Order: sequence, then C-alpha cells, then structure tokens
Amino acid sequence: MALPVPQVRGGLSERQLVARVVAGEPTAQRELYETHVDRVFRLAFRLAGDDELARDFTQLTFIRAFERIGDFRHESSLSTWLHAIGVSIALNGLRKVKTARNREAPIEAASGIGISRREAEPDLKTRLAAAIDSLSEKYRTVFLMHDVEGFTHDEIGTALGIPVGTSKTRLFQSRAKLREALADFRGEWIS
Amino acid sequence: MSDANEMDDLIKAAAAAYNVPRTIPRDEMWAVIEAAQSKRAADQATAPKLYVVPPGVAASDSIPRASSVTHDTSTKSHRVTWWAMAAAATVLIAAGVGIGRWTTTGGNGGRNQPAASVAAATIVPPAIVSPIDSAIDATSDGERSSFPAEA
Repeated sequence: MALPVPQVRGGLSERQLVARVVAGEPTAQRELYETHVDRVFRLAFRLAGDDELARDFTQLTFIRAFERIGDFRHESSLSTWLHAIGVSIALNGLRKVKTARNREAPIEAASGIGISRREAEPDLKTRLAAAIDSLSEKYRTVFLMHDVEGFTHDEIGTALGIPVGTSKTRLFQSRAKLREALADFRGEWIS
Repeated sequence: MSDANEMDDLIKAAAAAYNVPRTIPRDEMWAVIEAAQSKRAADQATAPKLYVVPPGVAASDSIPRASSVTHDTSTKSHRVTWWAMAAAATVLIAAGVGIGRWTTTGGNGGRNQPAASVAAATIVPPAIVSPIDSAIDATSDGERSSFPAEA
C-alpha cells in the first residue's frame, strides 16, 4: 500500500521550512514535526510492533533531526533524510531491547495446517505476521518499507545506506521467502 | 500475471494489516521532544564558554557582542577545540625536537663541526684493519703522512 509523501503545510517550500528550523523558530519545528510524524511513527511501529518502542524511536528521531538539521544539505528530500535517521534509530533500538517476539523462529514452524477457505483470513494474517517476523532484519526492513509503507527503492537505499540494486534484491528475496512460507495458501488464493 | 506475481500482490495486500498503529500520539510525543529541546537549550546556556577576542579589542567590550567569535560546548565547537589542541601539540613537539637538535650542534647548525655519529662510524678498531686497507683509506683522503710503516 503506497502512502503519499507528506507535503509541507501552508505552501512553504521545504527549503524555507528547513531555514526557519535552523534559525530556531519553534513554530517551524512544530510544523516540520506535524508534517512528517505520522509516516515516521507508522514505520517505527511497523518495525517495532510495540507502541512504547515506536514512541521512543519517533521522539528520538525528531530530537536528533532538530539537533542535526544544520547539517541537512538538501541532497535528498527532507522526508528521506528523516527516515534515514528514524530507521537507523529503530533498528539499533530493536537490536538493543531484544523484543519478546522471536523473529528467528523457523518459517516451517508456522506452516502445515490445512484449512478451509472460510477460516483462511484470520489464519492467513497470523501466518503472514509470523512469516514477516521470521525474516532477517535486512529483508524485513526492505519488505516493510517498500511493500507495506510504499517507499521507493531510491528512498530505501538512502535510508539504509545501500545501493538501489541491493534494495531490489532484498525485496525479491523477501517476497520469495514469504511465498515459500505461505505456499499452502496458494490453492486458496489463486483460483 | 504469473502465480508468483499474483501471490506477491495478495501478500502485499494482507501485509497492510501487519503492525498497524491504532492511534498516533502526536501531542504526547511532541511534549517529550519539546522538553528535550528545552533541556538541551538550558544545558547549552549554562555550559562554560570560551570567547576568542580579536587582538587590540578590550575583552569587556567584545564578549557580550554577538559579533565576537564564540566557542561554546556544542559538538562543532568541540571539534574545533580538538583541532586547535592537536595543532598546538604538534607545534610544541616540533619546537622541542628543534631545540634539542640546536643544542646538540652547539647552536651553529652543525656547519663547523663534524657530526659525532659520523666521526664514530669512521673509527675502526685497529686489530681488524690491515695495513693495506689503511693505506688505501689514507690515499683516498690525501693524507700520505699517516701511512703506516710497511711490514
């Protein structure tokens, strides 16, 4: 599901807004925050799956962004720059806190029960969630950013510091792993 | 469309329901961010500052002015301070080495005095020098008077 990139409110250009933030205008900081917070928080929540962690990651993202906004050179969009900070904070945070979910559970463990079409929907969501959780960090991040949050490969490459080709490869491989994990649903879905 | 593509689309659609936040606590998060900003500003205001005053300007006049160069404890200023300290240390070491060399050469840069190390290197223990070697050395130096007596 591709989501629209937030536009700066009030007709201000991104450069003007950044200049006002650099100048220390509190209203400009709030404006920047309001423009981007939804997307930053949503991605943090997709990655963390936990409200408290998503809040912490989002807050830290904006605190860091305001500290470093003077270094922003408009080489990418402000949104991409913010997400690069956000993804880095979220991934580092997730590594540190070791969330209760066991992402490394083998995909095979979640498969193997034949079900009727009527029951497919709730089980599919559970199975898909388990399959996404079981992806390794690099595949999971690219899959969530591209296929779920609608980031482009350019944006993902910039945010993760990887080439566009690597982003595409990781997406291809993550989709293949998910298809494999959900192979027994094929008959249910494709008819 | 191939089965794989069709399945990818279905997975993508189903994945939209993966880890969806119910609400986005914008105001609560902004309050935390604002508090952090205020704390940072307060920390910076209370941190000691180093004022660099241009030569010939009275410190009392220049310090309050915004035009004077101010080094506070922000990250950038720390970087500048470290560079200055590193440069000062390098100059100090170079000066120490220079003074050391100057004192060992007696202050004339070693122009009128053969280097001690070279002199030491040319002293060869007599036991292992044959008369012929000595003669060759002496010839090359043009010091015939120091020829050893032929055996």
